[in-house]
Amino acid sequence: MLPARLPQMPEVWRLESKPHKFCPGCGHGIVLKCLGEAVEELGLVDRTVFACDIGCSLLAWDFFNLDTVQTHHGRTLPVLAGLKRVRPELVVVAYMGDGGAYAIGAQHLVASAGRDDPVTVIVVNNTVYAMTGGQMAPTTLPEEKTETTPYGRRVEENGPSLRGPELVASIASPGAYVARGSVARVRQLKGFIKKGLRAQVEGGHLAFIEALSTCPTNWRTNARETWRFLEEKMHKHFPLGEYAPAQAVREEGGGAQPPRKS
Amino acid sequence: MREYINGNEAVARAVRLARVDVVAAYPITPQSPVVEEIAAQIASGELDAEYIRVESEHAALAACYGAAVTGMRVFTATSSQGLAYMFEMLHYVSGSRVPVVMAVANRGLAAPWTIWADHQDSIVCRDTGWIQLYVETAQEALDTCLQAYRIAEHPEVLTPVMVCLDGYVLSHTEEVVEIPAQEAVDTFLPPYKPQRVVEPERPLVFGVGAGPDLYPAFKQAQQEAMDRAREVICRVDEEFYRIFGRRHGGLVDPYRCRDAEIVLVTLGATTGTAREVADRLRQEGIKVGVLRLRALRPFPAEEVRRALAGCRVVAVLDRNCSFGYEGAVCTEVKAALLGLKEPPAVVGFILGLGGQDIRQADIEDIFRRCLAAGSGAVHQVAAAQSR
Repeated sequence: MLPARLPQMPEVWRLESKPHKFCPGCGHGIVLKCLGEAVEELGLVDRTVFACDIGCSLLAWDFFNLDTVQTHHGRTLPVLAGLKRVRPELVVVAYMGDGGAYAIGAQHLVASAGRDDPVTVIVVNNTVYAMTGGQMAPTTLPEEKTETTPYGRRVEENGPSLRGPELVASIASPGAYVARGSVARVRQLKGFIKKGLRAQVEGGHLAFIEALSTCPTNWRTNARETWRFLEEKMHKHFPLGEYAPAQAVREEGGGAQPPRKS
Repeated sequence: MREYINGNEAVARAVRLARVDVVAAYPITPQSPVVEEIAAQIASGELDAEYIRVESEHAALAACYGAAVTGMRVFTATSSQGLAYMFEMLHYVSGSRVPVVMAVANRGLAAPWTIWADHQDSIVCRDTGWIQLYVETAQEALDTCLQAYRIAEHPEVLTPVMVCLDGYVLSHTEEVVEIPAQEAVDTFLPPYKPQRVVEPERPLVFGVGAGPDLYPAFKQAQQEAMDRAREVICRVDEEFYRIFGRRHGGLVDPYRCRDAEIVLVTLGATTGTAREVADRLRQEGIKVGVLRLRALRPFPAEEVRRALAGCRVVAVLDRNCSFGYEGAVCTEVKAALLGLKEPPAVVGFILGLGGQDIRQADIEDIFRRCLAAGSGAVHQVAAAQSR
């Protein structure tokens, strides 16, 4: 039975494309709701361009009543770098998964962070290549079972699980905004996204927000196990919070220092 | 032993039977189950091989290249954008003459984004110096992957091979597949004995820099190896037949072409549909045949000419488009027929792009249009006009 009062959805949602295409229990809807509300509350609806990547993130191609561009394999970042260079008044959002951002598109992320492209990047991390059926991603946790690590990810063979915000913070310029949120902490996540949009609009800097998310379909978990995996395993391995760019730390403190978690 | 498996699983079985040493791959629909199954085989110990979970297709083929220059037997698989992303490395592998085998689960190219089958992805790679074999069934996918190593590793060929299977229609559709016994496969496909490998005692350069004085000779050598591959492909298919009792036509697979008035040229899985239609029209007394090209590179020009010389109209079914001209296979068939005294008319049809079904009715429509076509008329029919 439907609840007496339906939750308020952002006006920027394109209703014809709802219900959305994501699996039941997927975290994308929560992240996109946060993004939609953030864009509305900051009054950016009439100048935001939404861009999505390959993988499940591309299922958001008709999610918003916003101009939308879709490309493949992490290329969302250079696409937006090009767009923003000639239309600097627009607000551009790159919406990607951990596969596109950290594996096949890692070079683009590194280069964009290096150039400090004024782009707000949202990377939804569910620890697997979800759209292709749940294979190991760079973010797959140690011992996590996937389609290509049927007995669990072995760190000796495949390395440790990659931490995106820490990576980006280590190369980002002063003024860039880096944070990690979670679909289990919605208000915090929405706050990070808002700050990330402002870093682009007001500061002209790169903003990078990782959103820890859920994939019960590929994790093969029920609701309780899904949430437990996110809050217990993922939150532990991927600490939530804001990450100061290392370049800024160096400028302030002089000399190289490890990135500081603020 | 017989198993009820799909084309992807058949390819994975072949990789195990071929005792491949190194697999490097990146998931992409509709190929992913191939590498998932291989990963499971390696994890369970069924297959003693290295599996490198790389960050992209570009890296996948690069890792295969690196492993192959040491003389290992390597495998990768991809589709669509993944194959496009490999494009640069495709040339490196073929130019360095290392015998990589790759399965391509054919899928259309974005934009617009699609996961469904057509041949555009591999067709645009036909000039990369890879041998391209297009299969019709899951059984043929398995058999051809085994044959592909024999062809690629042949010292007179040393050219990488793409085994192309239609996405979903073959990759995800189950059929009964005969799984050859390991001992028989070991007889057919002994361990690879490379002639030139990376060995510290005997240093070699792979990917040498070549100026205008040297470069053409390398390309000439590749072209000659492709020419020799024609015979090798046929011979390997025959040898396969002697051991396993199955063969797939070598370079081309003609069906009721001998006395045919109209012949439809096809690639891949659509051929079965075309044969059914041909049989039905034959019962009506209409003389039609089907010519499946199993090899697109090297192009079997001689065999195509021989199979089509006597007919009045040749129809070519392309699941691809060379934009600004016509279907790529159509162009190639026309070129092969040049110089015949009384060449048949060639009519091109572009159908089945982005997973559009090719139904019996579509094929029958093609035959009937050709029946009505006057001799000598050569024209192109736009995509899916028959709908």
